[in-house]
Amino acid sequence: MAEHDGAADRLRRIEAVTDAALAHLNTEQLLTELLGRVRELLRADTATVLLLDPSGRQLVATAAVGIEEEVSQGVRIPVGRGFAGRVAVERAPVMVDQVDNTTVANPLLWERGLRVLLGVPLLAGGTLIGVLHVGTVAARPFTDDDIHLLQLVADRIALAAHTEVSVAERAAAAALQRSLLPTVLPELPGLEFAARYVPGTDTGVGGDWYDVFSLPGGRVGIVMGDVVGHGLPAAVIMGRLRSALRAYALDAVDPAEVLNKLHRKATYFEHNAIATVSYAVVDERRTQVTLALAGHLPPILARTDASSGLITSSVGPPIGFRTAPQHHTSVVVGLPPGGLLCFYTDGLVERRDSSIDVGLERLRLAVTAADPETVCARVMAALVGNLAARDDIAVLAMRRDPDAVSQEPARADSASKPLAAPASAPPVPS
Amino acid sequence: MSDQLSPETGPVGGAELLTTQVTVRGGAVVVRLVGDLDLATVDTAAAALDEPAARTATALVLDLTDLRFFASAGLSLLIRLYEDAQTRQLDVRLAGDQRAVLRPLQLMGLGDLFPMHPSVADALGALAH
Repeated sequence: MAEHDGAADRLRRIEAVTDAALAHLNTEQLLTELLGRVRELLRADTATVLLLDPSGRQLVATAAVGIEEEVSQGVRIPVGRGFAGRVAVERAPVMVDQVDNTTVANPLLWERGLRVLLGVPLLAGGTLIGVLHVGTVAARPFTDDDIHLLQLVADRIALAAHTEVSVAERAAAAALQRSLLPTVLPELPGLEFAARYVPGTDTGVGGDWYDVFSLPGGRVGIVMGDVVGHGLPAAVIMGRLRSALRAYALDAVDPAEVLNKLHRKATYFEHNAIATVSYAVVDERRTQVTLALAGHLPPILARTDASSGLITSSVGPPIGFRTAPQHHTSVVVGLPPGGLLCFYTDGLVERRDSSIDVGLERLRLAVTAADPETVCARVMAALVGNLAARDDIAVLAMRRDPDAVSQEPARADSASKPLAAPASAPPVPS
Repeated sequence: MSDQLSPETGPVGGAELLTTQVTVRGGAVVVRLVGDLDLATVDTAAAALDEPAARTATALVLDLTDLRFFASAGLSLLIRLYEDAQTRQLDVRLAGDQRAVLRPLQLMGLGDLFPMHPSVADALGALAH
């Protein structure tokens, strides 16, 4: 290996890891191929890639050659501990020539008989995404040239892995959101529903969600929520809040109490999660709605005999606001036959070029006591049009059946009457 | 008399949307946000509040007098500031009571979170008492 450090050799070594043929491989194949080449070029015995997990606290063995058991056994190294953990913290190349439990956290490495380890950080756009390390059984230190080459490979891997993770996270967030947002809303006697969800252009899928479910005694729960943030983390928190809210809705009748319980759960278990939520319960007679708002924009009520308006209600603190100075309260609103409630998230009415009042007024004018599908279509046309929204948007419209016989609570026989549920109630299109 | 600690800065791609400035005036740190506060710029605003001067202040004025747009993404920023203010016993005042700021705060139920003043001078005056 006389020409080991020669210019021609350097070029050959760099070409070996920047080969255009590698571009056609998927990430897993690329990692294995690159690790194979780097092991050969550096005359190493092992090469391993560990990627930072979503918590940012652990490195997970993702690809390895010469020490495949690292991956098959699911090795995890806490950031800051052992060899890989040290590379992650220092974000700089680290070499150790003593491999034992004082320098290395993973026993597989010393059991493999490794004597020297060289590790470099995987950085994508300045963000640490993992660690690449090579090891030799011979007691032979790596040269500066080796370190440069390993960092070159690391940059290549970081780019590929980062792209793969972003694409995978977006897909996962979209799949999660799809699985949790009902495309077909439940058919419930005396009520009709329609909804829209559009991901934001800047953010992709966010933390918006809506939910409709029947409750004991014939009541109906309606949720509109928005987790602050976007992407997979927001979608995951959305999924948890959605389940928790459903559980508390079975426990407590008063929407404010449901939100107080949700708030307690979120501040206790979901650190740094903030969400705005509107939770409404329609009574079994469909004559009134009890509403509580946690930092969420108020719904619009449209009646057949009057103009539409925002429901004025006292807004409680957002869910997850740890030291919020006040609790949630509920308001009761009458729901006349044919009356429609429109719930939405901020993405619908917030625009950079105009005040939120303009958006709310535009929405108020678009919401009428009409068929919920028509209302949703009109709202989207009036507020979104053909301009893609930057933030995600959710809209849910609920109408009380206009043909239902009015069953005001004052009537003595109303409690025993079955709900008016005409056979002609149209199914909600998906 | 103000002692400027940081140049007006903005993030890559968001520079025209929000600029921030951290200054010390009297005994208070003034964090000024100019432009649009929304999902795209909220991290820039958070970074300004994380500057050492703001982190160690005992009195802070969040100057929103030249904020044109306050989206609900700004919610998390104010909530963090409030939580922080409580744990650090930091006296926080908002300057800027124009509708673009006031209305979103009211809608989000955060209208009473911090004392609001029409100008930085008023906020500083109130802090002095």
